[in-house]
Amino acid sequence: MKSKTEFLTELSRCVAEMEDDLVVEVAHAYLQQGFSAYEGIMQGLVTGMEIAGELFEQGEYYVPELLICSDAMYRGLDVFKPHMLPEDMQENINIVIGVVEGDTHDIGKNLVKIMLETAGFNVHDLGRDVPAEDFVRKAQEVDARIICMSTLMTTTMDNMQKVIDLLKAENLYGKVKTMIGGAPISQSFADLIGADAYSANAIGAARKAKELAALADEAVQ
Amino acid sequence: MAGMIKPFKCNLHKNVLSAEFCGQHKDLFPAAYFDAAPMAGLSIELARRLDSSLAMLPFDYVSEAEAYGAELIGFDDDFGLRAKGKHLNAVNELTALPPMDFTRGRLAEIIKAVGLIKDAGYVPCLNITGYFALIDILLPIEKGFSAWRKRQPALLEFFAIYERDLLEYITLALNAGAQVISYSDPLTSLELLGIKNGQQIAAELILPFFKKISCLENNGVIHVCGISSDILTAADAAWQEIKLEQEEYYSTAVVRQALQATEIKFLGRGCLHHKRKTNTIMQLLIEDIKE
Repeated sequence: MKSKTEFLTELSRCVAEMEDDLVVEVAHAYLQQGFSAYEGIMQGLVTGMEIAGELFEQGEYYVPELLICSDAMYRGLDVFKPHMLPEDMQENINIVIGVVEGDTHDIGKNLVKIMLETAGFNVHDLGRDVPAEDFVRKAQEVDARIICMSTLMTTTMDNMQKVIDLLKAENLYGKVKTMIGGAPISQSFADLIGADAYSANAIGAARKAKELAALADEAVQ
Repeated sequence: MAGMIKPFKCNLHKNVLSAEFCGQHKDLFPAAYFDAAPMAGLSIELARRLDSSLAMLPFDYVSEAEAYGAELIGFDDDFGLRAKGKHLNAVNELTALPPMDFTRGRLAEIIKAVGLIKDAGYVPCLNITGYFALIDILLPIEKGFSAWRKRQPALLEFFAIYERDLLEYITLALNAGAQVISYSDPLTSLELLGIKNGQQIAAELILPFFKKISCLENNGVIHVCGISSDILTAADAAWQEIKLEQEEYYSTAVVRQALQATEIKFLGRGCLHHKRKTNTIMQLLIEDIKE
């Protein structure tokens, strides 16, 4: 019989090596032994996703591999989540994420979402082609600290400004931080529209989100 | 070779149909998306704006997905046509999609518009969408990539269907007067896929498909966008430099090659939308590619 450590290593390997079918079997076998679902997630699945992130940063993995790894992680999560204990539920920081209205290119947004979840944030994904009002409404609803927006099109860049204007109108600007990204986006564009951060890639976005979350906490207090 | 490729920089996110251009031709919208006459008219206006005789259409990359049933939005807003959501949830659903119908709907109007452009003295260019850009509209893309990694039979079967449909679409367009077919798949950029994935997709899907196109009994140019050309280069496809007699716009040079073509010729590693002058263009040598 496998030890808990062996199971956790196996879960981690399934995610990092894109074994999206096997991960479900291993997760069920792990639970049958009476081991903690929370540890299965944090020390198994998330560890595997962190390994995948490192391989992505090193240029060993590219976007398809990272997306397939995340698919494996989510399939494992589906097995574990119903078995989480009340004391395992953490009050994580909420982030709202989406592709701005008019644009349907969501790969970059999906990568950022994956890295934010791996970093421990509670991410509310609004999907793609999202009207400005929906970003702000969702941020209010879940008491989000950060709104992340992406776009691939120059024609839809201005919709990021709309979200920031709405935050100002709702007196939330500064309390809810904003981070933007996408092919035509730059730091100078972020400065121009008053976004709090710009990230050129998903790994950097997760790092910047941690900094922004601390700033947002200070602003709220 | 593969390790030395400098990825092609695409500026197409700066949008072909700019808000300014669309504003100037408001009278043609939304009919230019679905009706042959205004579609041809807008395509010609776009060509004039780029000082080119090459009139490209359609103005979106979702017409093939729409033909398979994907729901579109944006006919009447400022952002252009796009898919409403992912059309399917699972790879197995792909093979149950209806076949492309070239007798009615937007595809039929596009083919009709090709003829109208030709009659107006311009060079019609049909834009077609590659495998993974299509999958990204039909399915969550991670499911597509995962199925490709496993060479899942349902995905391979669907790709075979898509190839057959595209071959018919290309043939109909060439017969209607198209002289350039522009192939692009932004989902297969080298930066996104990496060398290994890019090589596999090029060697197993794109190059064999091009080989089939090369057997058509038509004349014209298949233009491969810069991004899609990169993965062909990664798969060691051979390119030959063609020296131009004089420096000219890239699209003008492609048109010249199309008008002189006595068979199907493959050009690439450039962008038909870039307004830049060049004194060389690159031809993909198709003869050595296995089907």
